[in-house]
Amino acid sequence: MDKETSNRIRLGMFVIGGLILLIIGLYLIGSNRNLFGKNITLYSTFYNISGLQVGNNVRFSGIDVGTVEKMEIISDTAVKVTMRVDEKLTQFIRTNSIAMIGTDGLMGNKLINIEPGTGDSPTVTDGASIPSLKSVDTEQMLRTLNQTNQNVSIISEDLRVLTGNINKSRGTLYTVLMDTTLAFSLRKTLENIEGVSNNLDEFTGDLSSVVKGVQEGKGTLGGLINDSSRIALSFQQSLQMIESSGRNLNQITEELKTAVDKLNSGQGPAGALLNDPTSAEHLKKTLANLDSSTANFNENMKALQGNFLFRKYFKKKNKELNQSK
Amino acid sequence: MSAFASRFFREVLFPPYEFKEVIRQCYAIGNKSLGLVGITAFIIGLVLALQSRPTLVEFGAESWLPAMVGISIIREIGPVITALICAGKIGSSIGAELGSMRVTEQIDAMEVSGTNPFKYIVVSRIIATTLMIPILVIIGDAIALYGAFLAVKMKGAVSFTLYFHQVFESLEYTDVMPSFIKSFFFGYAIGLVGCFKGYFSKKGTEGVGKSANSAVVVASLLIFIIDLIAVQITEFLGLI
Amino acid sequence: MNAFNKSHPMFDAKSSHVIEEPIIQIEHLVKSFGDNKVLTDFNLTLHRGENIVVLGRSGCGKSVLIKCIVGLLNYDSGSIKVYGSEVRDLSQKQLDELRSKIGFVFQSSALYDSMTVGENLEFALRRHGKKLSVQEVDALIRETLDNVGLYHAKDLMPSELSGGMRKRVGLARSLVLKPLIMLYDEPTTGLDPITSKEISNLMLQMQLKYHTSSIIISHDMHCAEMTADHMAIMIDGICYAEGSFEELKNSKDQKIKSFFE
Repeated sequence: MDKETSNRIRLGMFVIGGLILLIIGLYLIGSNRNLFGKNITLYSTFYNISGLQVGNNVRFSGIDVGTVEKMEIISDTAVKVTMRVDEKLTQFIRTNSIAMIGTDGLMGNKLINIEPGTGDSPTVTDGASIPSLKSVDTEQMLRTLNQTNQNVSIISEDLRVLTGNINKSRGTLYTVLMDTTLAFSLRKTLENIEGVSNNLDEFTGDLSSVVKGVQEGKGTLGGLINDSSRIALSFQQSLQMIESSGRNLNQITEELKTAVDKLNSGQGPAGALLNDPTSAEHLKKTLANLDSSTANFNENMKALQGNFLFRKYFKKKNKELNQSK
Repeated sequence: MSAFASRFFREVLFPPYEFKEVIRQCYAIGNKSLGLVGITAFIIGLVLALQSRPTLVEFGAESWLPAMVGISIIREIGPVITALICAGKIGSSIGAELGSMRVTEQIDAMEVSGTNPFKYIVVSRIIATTLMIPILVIIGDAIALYGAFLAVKMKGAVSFTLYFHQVFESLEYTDVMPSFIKSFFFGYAIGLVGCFKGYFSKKGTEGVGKSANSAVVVASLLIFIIDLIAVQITEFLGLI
Repeated sequence: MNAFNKSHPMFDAKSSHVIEEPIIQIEHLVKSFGDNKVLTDFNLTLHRGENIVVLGRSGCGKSVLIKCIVGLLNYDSGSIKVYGSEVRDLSQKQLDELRSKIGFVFQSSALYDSMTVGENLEFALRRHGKKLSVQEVDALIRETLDNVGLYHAKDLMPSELSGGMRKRVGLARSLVLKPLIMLYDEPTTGLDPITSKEISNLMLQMQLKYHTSSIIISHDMHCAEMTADHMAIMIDGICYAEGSFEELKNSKDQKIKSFFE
């Protein structure tokens, strides 16, 4: 009987132990999903939720404070996201706090980051809506950079063809360029432009590999981004800046390209000077004309010698010339 | 076997209930298997973590190790390994025990003594396996997670809290519930097959060996089939 | 041998207590397993206070006969009447009631391996729905085990017992319910001659003490000689011959003679 009782006690402990483990497990899972605390509901509307899913975390200043409860498409450009957020956080989240779609690391789950608002706005209440921010799309950024890259390469190609033509043609401009300081400086300028464009090419190449590296989580920046979403945010801002500078660069190169294109296609005075063979011909003709006019002048002078009025003068002139010889 | 299974449900519903015997069998099946299940679960957890780590490190995703190990243990490895170990230990012992009871006429003797042997022997054992396997699975899961924690800690600094936080953060109720529910079916299958094979054991000592052997084989196979069906159902319900 | 039996103190009393009141009546019993007809047309009557030994070759269906009597096996046709009621027609409850009046000693003793000797007896006692206090149960167990001389083995497990002891515990377990009818399935099989004589003696003693009527299945002639008031020889599923030990021993029939050689 004693043995049986102790067996029953052990069985009881075994069963209770198992059930306690189950309950602890279920509680831990539940508490991660904020199922047991008091919650409030917040709404935010996004243009694109980038694959956010129900159950993804909501973070406020980098701390998990809730989960995504529901997502519904309310129009072709807006998705309304319902979030359940710990009630204790309501005193920190203000109505001008900004919700952003982010990523837990570069490969992790999507999540919603709520950035603290400024002090003068009221705090949120249950059912409040907070504004959202369109997140930086790294893919779009890379697309822009790629186009910049292509433009730069086209420009440098054009420049190469242009200088090649100048070298080969040995036209008037070549002579002009070879003979004068102006030509030298012009060539120098063109070389500089080529150098600049090469550098630009290299720079954009580097930039794209850097961005790729970041995307793969390599390097300090990648590590930092993986570490905390706070840094991820500032990184996102820098990326925005990079993007805008990229856009500027793009614009510059675009303009440069059209300029060079114009130069190449012979528009404008400089283009004509560089490319138009007729103007060189013209210049030659002018010189020939000059030549022939001096010849004509010579002839006219000889005819004048034969004239009776001036014969004496010319004879005397010849005599003096012969005597002096 | 289906007639046997339906007889179980018929008999389990009507009195008299053999509570004492059920409790005795629960002890014999639950507590006595705890050591074996614990050791197996610990080793599986440890090995799983050690084996998965290099691949994750290659992807720079070492921090995902607790989540990955947690999900694999809770969802699949814990229940299946525990059930297989129990199919080996409990299934064979039930098969052999009932087989020898049949061969030595103990089952007949019980019937002559005014006891329904099906109720006393079969029903109590099936109830015991059905109830005890899930508890063994839970404890096995916990031990396996702890084993995995030790493996993770061996290779890198991670605190107990951080590890278990990461494990439970990656888990959902939809991971835990299906595997918890299917472990009841594992337990039922182990008890049913063991009792069936033993209860209808052929005469002679060879019959006892055969029932024990085929109890293990059929129960193990059934566990995999139930697992397959369970995964289909969970997928159908959209829980994966 | 005969002289020895006659001088046995209990032998003289043997035939005197048989009362002409049928307890078990078996008529035209047929039982087959698939195509194998085990019992073809078996007839036998057990009277109160009588010991019937059923002789037969191994595997001829003797065990099937007594398993049919307690309802462990269903028979195909014919009838078995115990105390006037047909076994096949009894409800589960009535069958349990009948079984509580019948002690069944199995060939392999069928002791529950997981219980001690005392618990084996207690199980049988408790299972028949009789409300008994702990003291009553203990007293009954003590009395019965004392009768078979094994009270000291009360807390041993069946695996720790010798073959003879197991038989005696099996006997005690059947007797603890104070049955009216005892059915023995090969009680002396697998025992050495001395032990088997002891068991046979014990069976006789118990029969006197508890006033039971018995059917003893055996192929052991010494046991049969000691215990039988009446004998039946089963050949090919029928009761081939009946009579006292002496009558059958002196039979001229070749088939009967073969049992006594």
